[in-house]
Amino acid sequence: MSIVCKINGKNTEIHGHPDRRVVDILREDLALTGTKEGCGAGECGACTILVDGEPRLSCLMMAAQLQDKAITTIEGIGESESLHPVQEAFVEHGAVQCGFCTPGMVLSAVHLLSHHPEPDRNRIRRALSGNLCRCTGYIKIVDAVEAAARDMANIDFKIKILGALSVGDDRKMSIPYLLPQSLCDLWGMMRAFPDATVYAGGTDLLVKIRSGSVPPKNLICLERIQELKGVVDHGNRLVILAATSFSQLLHEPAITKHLPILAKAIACLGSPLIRNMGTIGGNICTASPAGDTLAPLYALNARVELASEAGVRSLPIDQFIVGPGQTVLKTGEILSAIHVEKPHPEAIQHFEKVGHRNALACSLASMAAIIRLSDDGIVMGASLAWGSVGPTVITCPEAVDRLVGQRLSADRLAEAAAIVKKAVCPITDIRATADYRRTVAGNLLLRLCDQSICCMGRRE
Amino acid sequence: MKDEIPAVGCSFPRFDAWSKVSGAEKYAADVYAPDMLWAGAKRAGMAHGGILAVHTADAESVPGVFSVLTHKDVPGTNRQGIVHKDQPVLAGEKVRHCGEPVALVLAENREALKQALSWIQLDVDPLPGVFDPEEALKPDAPLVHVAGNTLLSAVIRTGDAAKAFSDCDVILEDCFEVPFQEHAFIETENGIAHQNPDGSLVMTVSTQAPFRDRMEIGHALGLDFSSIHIISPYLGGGFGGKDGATVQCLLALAAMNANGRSVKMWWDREESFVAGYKRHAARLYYKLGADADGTLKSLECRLYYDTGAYAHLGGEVLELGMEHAGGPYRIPHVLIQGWSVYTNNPVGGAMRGFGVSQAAFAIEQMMNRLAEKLSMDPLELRLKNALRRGDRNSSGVTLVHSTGIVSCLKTIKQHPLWNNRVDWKARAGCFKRRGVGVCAVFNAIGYGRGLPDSAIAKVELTREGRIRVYCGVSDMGQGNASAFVQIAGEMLRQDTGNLELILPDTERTHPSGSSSAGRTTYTYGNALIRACQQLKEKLIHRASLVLFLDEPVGLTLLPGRIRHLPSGREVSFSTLAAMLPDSDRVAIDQHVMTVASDGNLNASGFILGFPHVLFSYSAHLVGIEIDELTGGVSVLFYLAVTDAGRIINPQGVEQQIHGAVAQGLGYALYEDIRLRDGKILNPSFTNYIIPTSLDVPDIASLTVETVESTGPFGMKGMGEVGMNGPLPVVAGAVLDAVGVWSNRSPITAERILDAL
Repeated sequence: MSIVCKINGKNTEIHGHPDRRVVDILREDLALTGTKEGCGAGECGACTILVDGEPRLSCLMMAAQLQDKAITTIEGIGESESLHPVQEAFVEHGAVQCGFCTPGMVLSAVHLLSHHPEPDRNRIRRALSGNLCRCTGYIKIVDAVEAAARDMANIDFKIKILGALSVGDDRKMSIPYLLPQSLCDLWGMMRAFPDATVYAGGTDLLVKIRSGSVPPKNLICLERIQELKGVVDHGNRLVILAATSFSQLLHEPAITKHLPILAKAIACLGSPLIRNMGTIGGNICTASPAGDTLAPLYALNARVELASEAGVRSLPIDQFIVGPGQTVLKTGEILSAIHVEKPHPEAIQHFEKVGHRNALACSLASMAAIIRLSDDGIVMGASLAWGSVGPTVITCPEAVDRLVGQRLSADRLAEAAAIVKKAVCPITDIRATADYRRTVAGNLLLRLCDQSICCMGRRE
Repeated sequence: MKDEIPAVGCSFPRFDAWSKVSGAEKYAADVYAPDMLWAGAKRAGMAHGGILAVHTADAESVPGVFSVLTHKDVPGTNRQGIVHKDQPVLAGEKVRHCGEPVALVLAENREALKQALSWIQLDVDPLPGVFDPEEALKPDAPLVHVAGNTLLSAVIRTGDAAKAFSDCDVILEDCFEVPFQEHAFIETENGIAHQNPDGSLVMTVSTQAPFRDRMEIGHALGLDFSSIHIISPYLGGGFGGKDGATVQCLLALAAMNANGRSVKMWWDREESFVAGYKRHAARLYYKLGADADGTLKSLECRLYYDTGAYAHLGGEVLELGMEHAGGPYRIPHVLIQGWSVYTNNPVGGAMRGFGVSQAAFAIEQMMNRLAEKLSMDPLELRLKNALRRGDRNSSGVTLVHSTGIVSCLKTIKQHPLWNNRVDWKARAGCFKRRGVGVCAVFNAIGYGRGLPDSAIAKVELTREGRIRVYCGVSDMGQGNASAFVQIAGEMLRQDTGNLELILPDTERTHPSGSSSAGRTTYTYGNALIRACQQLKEKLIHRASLVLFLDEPVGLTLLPGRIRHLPSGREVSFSTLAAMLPDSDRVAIDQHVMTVASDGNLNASGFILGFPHVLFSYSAHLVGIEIDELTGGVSVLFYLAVTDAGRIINPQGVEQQIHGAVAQGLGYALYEDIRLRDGKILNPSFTNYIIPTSLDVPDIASLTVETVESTGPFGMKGMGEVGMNGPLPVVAGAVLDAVGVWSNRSPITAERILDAL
């Protein structure tokens, strides 16, 4: 079969297996070796490319996903005789050492500047946090991006990158199989391939297939189904469609305004590259106790909507996830949406994750807290949930009971924290001991003493 | 690229930056050949055992498999190694570590390769393993090698340490432990090779030592080394991990069995963890004695370095650790004992800060403790004891060369970050505690005595009239190749547009040693200066002939031409080049690094590479914040002050300092190869944590410019010294912030919270 896409502005037809990795097609078939591979698992960002202008990991994309897409690799950004301003700045400011991470860094930086023309250093660091560099310590890279932003102030480079978007209608391709465009397509494919594995972003599944912990099978990718994307505001309730990427959720005003707790969790999930690919539905279905969105969703008492050809059912999230990696999803069924009641506008929404580093970190413990205080500081209601400290997310009604009706104080929080430390049941693994997780789970509750957190949700 | 004459001493964008930033630069990993085979090694997966059989029949039956090789197919000695030839290319009798290769598969594609590797069955009679260097030295320990588990043991004895302790007002003792560290270059080990019909072998490989690779391959596979042609493009990172054979011997063996087809081998990230070299894990016992005023008097230490299953450079790494065990301080009485010990752990090898980073942690923490004990300012304590030029260091070597540690410490003492530290600490927020740390470190330059540190530079006026530098020492990202262009441009007054660079290639460039030991720019640079001088004299002489001058005077080099200043007449390089025979357009010269001349050192057991006489020095300052609820450390500011002699390229020096400090902060806070029975539990970037852009602060780098009169333009090597500071300086800051004493690294949030 053949896949048609645009690569660096040129119509390109790709032949061969639709489940070959995009990084291999670029490097081996098309000789675009500027795209590097450093880990094969989405952890280093050396293979970053732009897909319709958005940075993605080409090691975690299958050929089929290129259909109708406009791809920009480093070779499409500029040549050594006519560099893009970002590349010029990398050269001038000494941002290049061994250079193996450089193409990915440049692409992440080009994307950043096309959306945020005047980023501060922290925003630049966040934008590059999915691209590992072992040579530079990142400082000169950040310097270069800052300088490029100044250089580009009067030039619209967005057009150059996104200009490759439209693919001519002259090549009417059959839809590559396993890449359904609608729910209707999807049900047909699931019928035809009952043992196929369904995925959305691929950031978990493709890593597991690579490591051999999940056997490679037919894959059905949900990323093209528009009916599964977006957020719908129903007044008191939000419906988050399951195949919405994390990055898109961070751009949804309904999420940032009404569910800052979820936005905070997403903002520290993986890296920008992972967030561009991964979806909230995928995070729930992976059902990892360390899944970053799960504690907020439990604290929000979210319900999940499960769809199949036969219809739709809905369940509270804590009934959907039944163990680590285990859900009650049936064959022929997908998670289609998440339903959340909006918390009271004055409620404090707090989320904290503890990981080994500030990006690309797997949670060692996390806590989501939604707390409503009266004007005189009495806890009127609380919803608490902890991630990574049990087989599934732990809620601790006893700790909630200890707080509700009481003035929020260091003493009350310490009492509740003691209860939490008893209630959680963490494991010891390569990342942390059970004792550490237990202690931190309780300690995270004490953070609510910090005035900067507890004043946030209160009326002035 | 901008055409300008690169001036030594000024920031100069790298020569290679343009091609790298545009994705055009071809690394070894980017080389593919038509009709190419893929090669991969079957790894033992267990740490110690006798090999009964390697069953390959199933693997051979996989469609697309070209051949499966075992030790029986290895001609030659089947042993590789830089100093000691103890490492089989394919193990035949015994497995000594989990990453041991036992079979080599050649296949048409990676899918077939992967399947065939998983279908090879290994019959092993398991043996008890040994995983701790001190355990391995016990008389009843399992033997990793028949000759015993000691690779090297050595002693440095200066004065009478035991006696001197009786005169000390304060004596401190402690034991320190550091784990293996991964280089974690982004381009993993790889290469591509083919054999010509005449039997010669051509290999493009990501390597720090192309010339030595020929020796290793030749010895292991019974080939004449002159029939091996190694091409070394820019490396996607090295840091020491590509010094010594990685894929080389396996790949050469594959090429010898591929019917002339090209074979590519590219370790994936997990294989790079399992089979690649590591910074040595170590345990260090320290006893330090001083007077009440802080004057250091006596040091006794015992260093145990875990070299894993094979020697690689384990003896030399230990030697450097011992040489630096006393820090950059005057200590009149020392007894430093060291053992480099075989275990069934992964293979230890070269890494930036070669043996020194481990010892720097120990001695600097002892200094922190001493300062605490004596209620002394930790910076004053260091200044008081810091080595001055003319002193003897703790190996007994007289410091006759540039010695800038005092200037480094004084620069910190005058810096606002140091002087405002009390206020800064007081501004910590809710649940946060702040601390400031300071340290003094150094790092030797060059191979040391016993192994001539030599380079041969070649520079050519090309037939087209351009200047071409033949660089014989690999550039793994540190920028030495670019420095050579800068030096040639400065010496011959040529702009970058008129300069060309040939990367190491055993058929085109001259043997110039490995890219390592802070020696590349120093040694090759010195040779290049001489070669440029020679070429310059030659060109001036030849130009004088063209211009009918009675004497070659009044002539000067300008970009692409030579001008006779009195008359203003010029000869272009292209005219000169057209006139000269090929052999006359070339200048070749060499340099050997100076070594210590002290003849009365009381040191025994050292074989190669001890002692050194040239050192770079550095003092670091850090400000950290600890979260009391999680134990997490945030590094908020960092200042590194370095003595690197005169600076050739300030931007290049900053690059090295930033990178070394970032790698050192990883070593201080996160990086830890976790082992169980010799097996790595975290062989990927998921759980082996290196810093991201959100984990490294803006690092300030200052230099104190001494002049190293033996160095090219007064410089000395400085790529490694920055690595040695972060672990001890962070440990000191943690002590300052929360009073928690660290004698193990990494200093994780969990360890801090446990101690709080």
